[in-house]
Amino acid sequence: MSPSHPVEPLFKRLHSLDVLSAEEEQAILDAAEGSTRFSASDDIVKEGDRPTRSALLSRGFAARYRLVEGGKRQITAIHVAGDFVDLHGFLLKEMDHSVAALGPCEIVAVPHRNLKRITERFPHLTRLLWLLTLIDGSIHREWLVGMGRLPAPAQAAHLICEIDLRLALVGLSRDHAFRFPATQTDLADTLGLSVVHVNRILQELRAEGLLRWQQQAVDILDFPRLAELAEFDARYLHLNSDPR
Amino acid sequence: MARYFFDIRDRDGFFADEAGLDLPDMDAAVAEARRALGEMVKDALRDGHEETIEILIRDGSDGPILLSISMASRDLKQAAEGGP
Repeated sequence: MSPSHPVEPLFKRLHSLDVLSAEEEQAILDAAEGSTRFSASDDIVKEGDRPTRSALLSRGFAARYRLVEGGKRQITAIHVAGDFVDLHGFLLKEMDHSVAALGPCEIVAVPHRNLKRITERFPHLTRLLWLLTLIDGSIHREWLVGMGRLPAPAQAAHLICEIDLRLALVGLSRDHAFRFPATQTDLADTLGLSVVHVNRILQELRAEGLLRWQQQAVDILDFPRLAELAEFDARYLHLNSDPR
Repeated sequence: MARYFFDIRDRDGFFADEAGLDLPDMDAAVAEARRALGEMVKDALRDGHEETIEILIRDGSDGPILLSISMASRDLKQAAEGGP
């Protein structure tokens, strides 16, 4: 398998959690279909859909979102390469939210019938996929805490710390520098804040020498100070490898 | 659509908006600024800051419009007694 195989980021993600056997890797390769590219803001799955395939994000970023009255959007999760974006749809059947490309991205489709076969034949791999959805849940909890209890600048700083560490797991952030195509509107919709306020917060983080953010390139200049401002504790990301 | 710029002045200083935001009209720009003010006031009140926050909305033709909100507390007993 070449290092550029679209499933490679998922392997990296799973390897960060536990040891993956060659048979388990092969089972994922056998389950995956071809990849599809999406442009920024394209919907990958829509609320109300009953997908028959789950999307595995092989490149770029995706966002889960809900639209509320007046067309306002709340992004409820950001996914990075290696995330099994809508593993949820496999069992939930009907989508209760949409998933869109956050910048250009590439998706590998995994038919639900193939996922079912994995759950029937590979109990350890099944637990790892289950674990991925549990970690999605712990990230939701952390965001809820941030939106409910953190001042807005801390909430923004928290998101930036999180994206950095999640990208590092799949080798896409080095020395706290990474590519992130989210616009200020995307950030505002993620943080539940106005774009004007988000702009003010980013200017403050820049002015304090905590980060640089130019043309989709984020460079965290002082991770410890940014994490302190954010009250960031990475425990909820479950970054450790353990037998599962 | 037109591009609106939102400059902010608060206790941390002046933050000029260089990016701007595309919005249908000045009413939408004022609504956006009011929302931002509300969020910033929330944090300022929580942190115990007494300050004035201003947002100056500017574009090519309309405005500029200035939105401003001040937070202050006063000890009414001291004031009634002619205190400071």
